[in-house]
Amino acid sequence: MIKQSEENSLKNFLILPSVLVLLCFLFVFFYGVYLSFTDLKLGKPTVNFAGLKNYIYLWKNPLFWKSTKLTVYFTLVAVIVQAFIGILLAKLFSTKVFFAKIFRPIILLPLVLPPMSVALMWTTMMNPERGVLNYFLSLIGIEPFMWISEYSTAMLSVIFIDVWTYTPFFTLIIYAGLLGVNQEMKEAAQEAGAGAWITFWKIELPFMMPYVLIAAVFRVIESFNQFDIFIGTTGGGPAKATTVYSIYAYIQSFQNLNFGRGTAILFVNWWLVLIGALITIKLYQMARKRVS
Amino acid sequence: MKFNFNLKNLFLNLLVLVAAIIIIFPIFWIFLMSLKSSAQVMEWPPVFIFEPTLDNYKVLFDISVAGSSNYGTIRINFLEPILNSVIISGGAVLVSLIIGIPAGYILARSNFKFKEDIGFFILGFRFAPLILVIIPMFYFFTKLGIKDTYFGMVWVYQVITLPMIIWLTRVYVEDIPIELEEAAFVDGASVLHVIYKIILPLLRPGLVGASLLVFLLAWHNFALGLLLASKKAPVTVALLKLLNPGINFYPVMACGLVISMIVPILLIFLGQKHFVKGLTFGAVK
Amino acid sequence: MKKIKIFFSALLFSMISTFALADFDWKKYAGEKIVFAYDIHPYVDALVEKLPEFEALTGIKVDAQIFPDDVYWNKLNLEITTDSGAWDVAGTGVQPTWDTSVGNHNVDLSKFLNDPSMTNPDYDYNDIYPSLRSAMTWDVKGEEVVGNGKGVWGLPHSFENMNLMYRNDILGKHNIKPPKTLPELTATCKKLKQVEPGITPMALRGVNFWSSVHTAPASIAKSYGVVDYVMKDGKIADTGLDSKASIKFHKDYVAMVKECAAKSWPNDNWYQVVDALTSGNAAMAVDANMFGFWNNIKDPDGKNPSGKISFAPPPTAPGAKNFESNIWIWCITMPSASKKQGPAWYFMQWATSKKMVLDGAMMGKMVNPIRKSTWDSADWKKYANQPEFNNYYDTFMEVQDRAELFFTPRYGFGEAMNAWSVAMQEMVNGRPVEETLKELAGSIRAGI
Repeated sequence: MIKQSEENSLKNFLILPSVLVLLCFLFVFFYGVYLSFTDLKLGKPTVNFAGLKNYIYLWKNPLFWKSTKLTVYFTLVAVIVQAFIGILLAKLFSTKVFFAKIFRPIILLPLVLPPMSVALMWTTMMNPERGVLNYFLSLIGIEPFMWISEYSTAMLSVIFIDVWTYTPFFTLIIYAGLLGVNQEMKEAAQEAGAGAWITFWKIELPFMMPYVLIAAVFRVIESFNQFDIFIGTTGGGPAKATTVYSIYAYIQSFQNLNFGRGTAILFVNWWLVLIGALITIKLYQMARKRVS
Repeated sequence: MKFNFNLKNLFLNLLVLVAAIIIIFPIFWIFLMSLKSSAQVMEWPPVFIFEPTLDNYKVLFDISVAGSSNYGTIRINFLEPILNSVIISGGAVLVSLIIGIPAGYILARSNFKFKEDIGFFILGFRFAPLILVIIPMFYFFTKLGIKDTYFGMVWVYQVITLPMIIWLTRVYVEDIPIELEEAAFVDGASVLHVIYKIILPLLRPGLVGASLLVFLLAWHNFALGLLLASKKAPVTVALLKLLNPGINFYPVMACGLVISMIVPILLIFLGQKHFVKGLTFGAVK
Repeated sequence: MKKIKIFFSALLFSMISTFALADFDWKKYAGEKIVFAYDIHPYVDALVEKLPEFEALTGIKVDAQIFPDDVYWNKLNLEITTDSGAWDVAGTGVQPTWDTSVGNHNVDLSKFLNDPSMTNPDYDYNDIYPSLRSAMTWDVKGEEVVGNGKGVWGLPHSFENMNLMYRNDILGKHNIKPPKTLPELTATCKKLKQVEPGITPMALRGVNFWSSVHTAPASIAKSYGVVDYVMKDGKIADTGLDSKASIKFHKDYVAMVKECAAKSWPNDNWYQVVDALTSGNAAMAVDANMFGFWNNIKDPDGKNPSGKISFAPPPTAPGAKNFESNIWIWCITMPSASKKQGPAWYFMQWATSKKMVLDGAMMGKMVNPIRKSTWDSADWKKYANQPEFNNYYDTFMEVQDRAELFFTPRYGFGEAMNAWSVAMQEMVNGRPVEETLKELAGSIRAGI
């Protein structure tokens, strides 16, 4: 018996290699935070502790505030639109119509493609002169659209791509949730004379909400950090139309070689991610309470 | 009433069809583009019916066939980044399985102080802003001299693959009845014996699915390869390089896109049902 | 006949190297392997084509890694400033090297140049145009770049001056004269749009990177009296980008971009400029003069608009006495982290040797050549004056007299000039010129 318990405590050490590997990343993360308080510039031989200099620079820089707005705007709009269409698609594909059964597997498709491939794919289709999207628009008599090449439409075009890519994520999760909706509850409601809309509104939607919000948690976090789709389409331009934090930090660090500033931007972004995620989780907990 | 029902049915079918076309068309269009000549890509209106050519694939894979232009010669060997992606993603999944399965098992079965804290610490990496790690990582990689090596890349990819493998193992192990193991322990088996001889065979179907999914996520990654590798850069990074030369070069880039997309599409056919579970860390079962 | 010529010159070469007093030996590093990095570019195509000659001469293997422009510059900065050691020779320009030479990330080549055992006696460094040599010569003091010093940070490889280039078939058809000033250029575009609605009047770079400001904007701005930095007592005291002259220039330039450039302007890089001239999708360009030269070459499959590109000096400010033309010098440099500096240096002197520079020019690729001996050679004169090149030669001579580097040597070139290119996009997008320039100048001042 003694041997048993000894082994029991020993076996817990099997978790150690994994934890050590991940601790390394944590260390790197904190090292990044430390760098944001230095004036590290690639190429310059000396690194000095700079206190809050980088953060003050950002605070005073209009581009930083613009970038903040863009990052939040991108995340909010993309996630809300995805949630909305995601619900619709989940409902649509849970109807037992013929095509829904056949096409159900393809919902996965956008989700499994590398985001960089998706971005480049849409870049070719959004080409203002030769892109196929403008051809379709011309069929219904709409003038050529500039998509990602113009200041006023670039952000919306990137959001469009993001929505195409990640709406299926919502659909999948909500679909799984819908399968759990108590059939009896639905039938009871319908017998009590509630129409399809009321049933949806009063029973299905509240039931779906926790699923929508759990998907939203993931999407909020990933949208704040979205990098691939911006690099593959606009690279942050035209002008500063799509310079979200990740791009701003990339340009500061790797184009201007200003690592201190780049890490400072990302540390701010990390806080935004945290706040965004916490708000969504709070909403999730509220929605769950309502269901039970 | 019956007619009405049918109309609704038709309408719903139509909606599904539209959604399906929106999802499929871009991929189909890229596939078409990969078979066009650069003159055909420049045509307006875009051509849908044409004589397909495989020349673009030759430019993509055969270093002796150059994409030529007035601004210089472009030679590509796309096989290199494909191999890099396979080695890095595959290697990362393998390493994660080796160190992650025992960890996931312990998290599922053991009780010790801080267990839940460690669990959430691991889960937290799913939420880590990757790019914030990359900048200091770049600095370290340079200092340690492991930039642009398979070793370095497999290691850094653990940040994507390891938390997923640990967490999914935990979810799967919790689904297995504990009695089997208890019987083995009574017989005096060691932990590793239990994990590898008893649990692993039961986990296999789930883990195969999970590994495919995690491989896929590793295959997706772009930022790590962009900054930490050069000759060992993955497919996603190689693709971006094909964009710069412009419309003339779109068909060749389309070939690259097709290849980068075929791999995941094949993978989901193999491991579809583990997808939802994996993507949400088992939050949705 | 040609083969025999090559054979004899090789023989002569080896004889010179054997009998010369200094014991320079081409075969000293036989068996070594080096990595050479460059942009996708005809300049490097010429070198790659001749690599077998180099490998036969020295026994050194060269792995040429070639990247597209958008990727290359970031990569270059990172490889060199982190001392990665992955590259032994890197193609770059004067301005980016200001940023990388600080902190000793580049090798000062004077130690090789002054060592007769390392530099072949036939190399003749002073045969390279003085202005090109001096552009790559400065001292690094602490964390600053100080011009006119002794350090040699790279060898010029080929260079370009900025010209106005135009499709003479399109302009000729409508009897349009090449414009002389910036407002005239804008007016010309307006006219072209009416008579040729199917094409863009002008091919213009606009990407949010310094590469889009060093061509047309820098050249034309100078004739408005714009300077990048104001010097005081030999030190940089201020930026000139929000001066009155600069505001005037930017107003005119922004109006020009709006009238002349393609819709894809903010994404267009030099590849697109060359392409647009080739296809005739654009009628004019103010950019590196060899874009016109390459397009004028007679190619076997007839894809080139051979003979259809004519040259003129860049447009000026209204009423300016003279035109101005910025230069861009492609150089090859050696990162300090290279562990194969000897073989790397051998490659560098070969790539910029009299023979390679002449051969590259005669291939129609390494244009404009950097050496006086090439310009003096009858072969090159004859080649460059062929009718399909139109007035390339004469315009080059005229422009080169006034061509000069617009930028002031300074660490931080990339950051400041990238910001300028982004500001340009903002102004074209409609942000008021004065406000934008004030913000731009503010951000540059913060770094001085």
